[in-house]
Amino acid sequence: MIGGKLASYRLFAEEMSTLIAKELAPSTRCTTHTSPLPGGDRALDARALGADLGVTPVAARRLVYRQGSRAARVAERVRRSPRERVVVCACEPVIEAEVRHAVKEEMAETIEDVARRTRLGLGACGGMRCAARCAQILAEELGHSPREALGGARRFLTRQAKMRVVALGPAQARQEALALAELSASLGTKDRG
Amino acid sequence: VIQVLVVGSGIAGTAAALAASRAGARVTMIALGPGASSLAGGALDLAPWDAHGEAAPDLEEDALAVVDALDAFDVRGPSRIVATLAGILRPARGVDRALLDLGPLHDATVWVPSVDWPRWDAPLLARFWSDSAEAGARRLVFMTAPAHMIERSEELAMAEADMAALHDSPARIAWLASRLEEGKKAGAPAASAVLLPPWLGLERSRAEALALAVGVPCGEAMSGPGGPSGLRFERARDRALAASGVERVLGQVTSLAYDGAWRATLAGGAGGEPLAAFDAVVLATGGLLGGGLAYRPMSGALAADPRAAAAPLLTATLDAPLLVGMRGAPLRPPSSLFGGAPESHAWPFAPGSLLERGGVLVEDEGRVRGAPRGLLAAGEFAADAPRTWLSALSTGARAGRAAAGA
Repeated sequence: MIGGKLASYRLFAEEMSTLIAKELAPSTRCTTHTSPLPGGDRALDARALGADLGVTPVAARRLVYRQGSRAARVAERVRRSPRERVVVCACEPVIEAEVRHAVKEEMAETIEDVARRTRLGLGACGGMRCAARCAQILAEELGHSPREALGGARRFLTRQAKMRVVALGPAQARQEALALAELSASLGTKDRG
Repeated sequence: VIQVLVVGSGIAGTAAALAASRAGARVTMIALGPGASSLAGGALDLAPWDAHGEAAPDLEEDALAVVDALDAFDVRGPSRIVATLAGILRPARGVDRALLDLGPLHDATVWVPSVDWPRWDAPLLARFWSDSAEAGARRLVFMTAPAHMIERSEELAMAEADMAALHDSPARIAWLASRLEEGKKAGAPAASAVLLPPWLGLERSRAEALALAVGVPCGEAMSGPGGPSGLRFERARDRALAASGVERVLGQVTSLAYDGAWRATLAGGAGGEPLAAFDAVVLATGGLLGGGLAYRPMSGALAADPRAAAAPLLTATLDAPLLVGMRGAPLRPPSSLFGGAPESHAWPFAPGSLLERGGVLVEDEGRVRGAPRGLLAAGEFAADAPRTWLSALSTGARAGRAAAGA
């Protein structure tokens, strides 16, 4: 099997296993359809979770959508340290606790890693508003120097812009002009060593 | 009296209007709404600050007069140092007065009050700022200690600009000063300056009033688009234009034609009062971000309309006798029916190329190349100038002065 999407891998795997099972005729019963994926064991009430943590309903809904029941672990972080309820990426949105959780529990080491796990920086503004802040958090969690961290933010923003360039149209070109202006103003496009 | 029309109300258009008015012209400004200037963060550059080895020229007298009329920015004297929320200290030629200028400080401690407000992670920001090269060279240390600067819990959810609006009240500034005093009593470091979130006023900077009350320089860190600095610019502009008697019209100019004088057509304006004829026009409609220029890759359109396929990638969004180009040469339509390859003209593949430099070709003082007498362009609408705030101001002031002498 080559290719697929997160939501369809398991279905493919199940169908393929059924085909193979017909050939091998094993005695054990299929359990794929009854074993939950990580976070899929129970449903969390996003609205109640948001109200409990002081997180907006939209941010709470997205958190539960990505993490399932594992959102409880992120919630635990917020209960220990209420400051972590603040939104880092406003587009998706992603709260600070989820970014720290990605580093501590999911082996994220770069902004790209955090983006793959949480969608931070992949929304409408392309990381313009959150890449530097995410870099600051990563530096704190991983003991990186501020300079390394901000170099990582520059690299992330540049790489994301390169990926978007294929879809550059009139409106997107305008958005890119804003992102570039913001990068030049508050971080600088070049690493000054 | 010379009649001058200025199209656009960003910093370039504002400078043009003020300079033309100062030179004795009667000025009308037509603009539709906010652009790049309203999104600027308050650190003012002439040459891009992060480009190596570019010595910035001095500002001309007309440009300085515009800065004085706005009465909200400092550009005279040595280069400034500002702290950004991204976590760096950066040099800037000038600043919005609400921003803390770290330039005069050496061997100093700066207090970064910590407060439970979303975009202000004082300990982490202080660590990043302390680590920067500028802090090292000046031996600046950023220290945190709490100050309870939130009055009501709703403020925790407020955006920067809303917080800045609250601090327009003198009572609130006095309260903030008292909170900082309390913070000092509770163990804040003896500091040479206080660096605060971008909250210090929307109508005008309240940093000076706060500094008087606290006894040391106080000011904001620089925030990104949507912060209070762009809004303070808009208010300073509105006051300065009103004081110099510039007539303002809300509208969008769709075309300009010359029949011995310049006549503008406004969008949707067939039934309206026709505008007067003008001796000179300054186009300051902005670049890609402001909306004066548009990027039009033609893939998709090529089959339907061969003429669309033969247009250049960058075009002006209003119809006037002008040429769009860069490095002094007009743009040609790309040689491929699929348009140009974005990696040959777009950031980050091609920094400093078409999408960053392209614009209307101009001669000295911003006269539009090939146009009849009296048509000028300034700011990001013009080709080949750095995309900086002070460059827009300078080219605007120059064009405004030239327009008044048309």
